Amino acid sequence: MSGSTLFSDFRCHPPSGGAAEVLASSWCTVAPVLAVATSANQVVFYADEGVSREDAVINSSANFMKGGKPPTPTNLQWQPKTRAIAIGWSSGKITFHSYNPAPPPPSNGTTPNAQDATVPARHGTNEATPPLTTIATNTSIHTSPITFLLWNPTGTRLVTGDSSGVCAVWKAEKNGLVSTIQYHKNVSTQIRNTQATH
Amino acid sequence: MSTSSTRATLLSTAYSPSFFFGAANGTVSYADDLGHCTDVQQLASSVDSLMFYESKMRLVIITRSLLMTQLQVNEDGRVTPVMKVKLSVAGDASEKGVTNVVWAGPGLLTSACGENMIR
Repeated sequence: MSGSTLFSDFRCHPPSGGAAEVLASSWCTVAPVLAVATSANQVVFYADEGVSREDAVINSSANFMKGGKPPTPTNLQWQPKTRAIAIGWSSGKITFHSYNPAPPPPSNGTTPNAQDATVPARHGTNEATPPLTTIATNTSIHTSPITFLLWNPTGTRLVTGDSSGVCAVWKAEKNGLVSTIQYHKNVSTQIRNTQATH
Repeated sequence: MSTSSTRATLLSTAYSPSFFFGAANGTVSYADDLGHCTDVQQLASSVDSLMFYESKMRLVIITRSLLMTQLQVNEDGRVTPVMKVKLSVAGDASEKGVTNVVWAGPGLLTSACGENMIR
């Protein structure tokens, strides 16, 4: 390890206001976007330098049935080499989203080369295409809080585990969908941690 | 390992990538796409963190009792213990466990375990 490291302190304010505990975070591998799971039952996105992307918030209560506590995001990880993110929730739900923020609208026309790391100060023109799309949701495999969620380095497989001891392998299809391949039931124990070898 | 055998391994694992996972009862399991799932190691206490040291093909495991175990991973997924070290951490890490561990560099681990510093 050589060279100097610059540490900069940027405060991230959750869009919901107030304070929320950070439960998990993950950097996108292809864009300067940080996804943060908070105790306010939200997943929020930040550009580098701590700028909140207010156009993109994943809210657990949005598609949660009435009654009961809304689930909290427990784990999240960007799929390597893509702009898709997998999120595990305390309800056992696994969701898979693609995040394609519109480039900040320039004064006239669009420049495809524009970096999306700037403040989304005024974006009225690209409102038609939401930056976040939910690709897949699964509530049937896991019924307990997700304890881990990990992509393999090539981004072809996702492994998830929950607190009741279920471990599932998901395959990332070409169209972005993930489907279960196999799951191992090991009911007696809570699965804590995982590591892909390849 | 020669380059050709590395390629062969990568090719075979491309179809069925394998992975390890640790459990609260101290079990470390090896599993793949095809539904194979075998317990490869039984440790005395809960697995808090589990990292793969890729260049040496080793698994590094820290358990709740602050025991760091290194396991050599064979081609077939079987493991042989190579090293066991008891970690010394101040504070209540022995109750909460050491869960925030990342690779700082090749063969160098960093952990945040509730102290005012990073080890």
